[in-house]
Amino acid sequence: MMQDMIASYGFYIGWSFGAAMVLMTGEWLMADVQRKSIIRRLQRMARLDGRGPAGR
Amino acid sequence: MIVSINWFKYSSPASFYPLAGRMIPWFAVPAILLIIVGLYWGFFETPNVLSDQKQYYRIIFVHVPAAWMSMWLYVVIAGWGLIGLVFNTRLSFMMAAATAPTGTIFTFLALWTGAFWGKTSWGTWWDWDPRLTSELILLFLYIGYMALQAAIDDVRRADRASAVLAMVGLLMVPIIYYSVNCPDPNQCTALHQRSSVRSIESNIFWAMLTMTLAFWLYSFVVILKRVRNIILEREKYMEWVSELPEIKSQRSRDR
Repeated sequence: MMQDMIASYGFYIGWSFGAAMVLMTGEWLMADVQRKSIIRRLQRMARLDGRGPAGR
Repeated sequence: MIVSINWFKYSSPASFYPLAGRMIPWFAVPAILLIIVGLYWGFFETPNVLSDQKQYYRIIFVHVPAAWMSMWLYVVIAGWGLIGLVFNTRLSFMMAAATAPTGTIFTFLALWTGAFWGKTSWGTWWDWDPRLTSELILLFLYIGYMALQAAIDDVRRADRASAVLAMVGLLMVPIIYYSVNCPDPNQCTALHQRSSVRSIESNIFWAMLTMTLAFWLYSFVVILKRVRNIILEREKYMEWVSELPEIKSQRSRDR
């Protein structure tokens, strides 16, 4: 049954569900990557703040 | 016992940021579980044919939920925009901005999966049919919303302008719905079939609803994640941001 489906319509079903899963997983991971990058930037800012206005 | 919640407290980014962080796992776990259940149900527990369509009809389990979410999220963006304009709450605009990319992805997915379904059932990837065309315009509205927001340097002005665009674009949602569901079917010549949710077999219907719920919960997860990023980005000079444990811990390590 499943083999029939893959043989006949695997291309169409694969590209539909595949795109959905890739895009949704990608969006989820991108949000995490973006968060890490923002936090790293904010940590750098905080570090510079702690060293006074001249950034020393 | 009456529990009173001070909603205005949570309209402050400083209060909402930790709350959003706590809410994410409550949506993430059910979203993943429901996607697994929905896919299993859709592929293994549903009939092999749907009226005159063969196994390829299973694209319905991603196409219809994505199309519903694309319209619903646009309504949500316009709603947040309206709240932002009326109450001048920064968080509403942030929520709208966080929702737009997810809506764009679902609109793209509705069009993409529709093309693959169309190829198998109609023999064509695309047709300038009212439903397909109006959904494509919705995709452009999403992209336009994000482009407008990115094009204006002043964040408050960008928020207000894009909120107005979202509310004007809201007209598109009933157009998409009625593009195939017009009162007199003889007056509509659409390749895309009319909504047939009420007549669909209950097994298929519930599998589709499970996937819709999964997509909805997924939307909560990514929107909350993204709004936290937007809050950090926009509030970076605020005292409370520098006091956050994830930022403070690094500073204390450096000392």
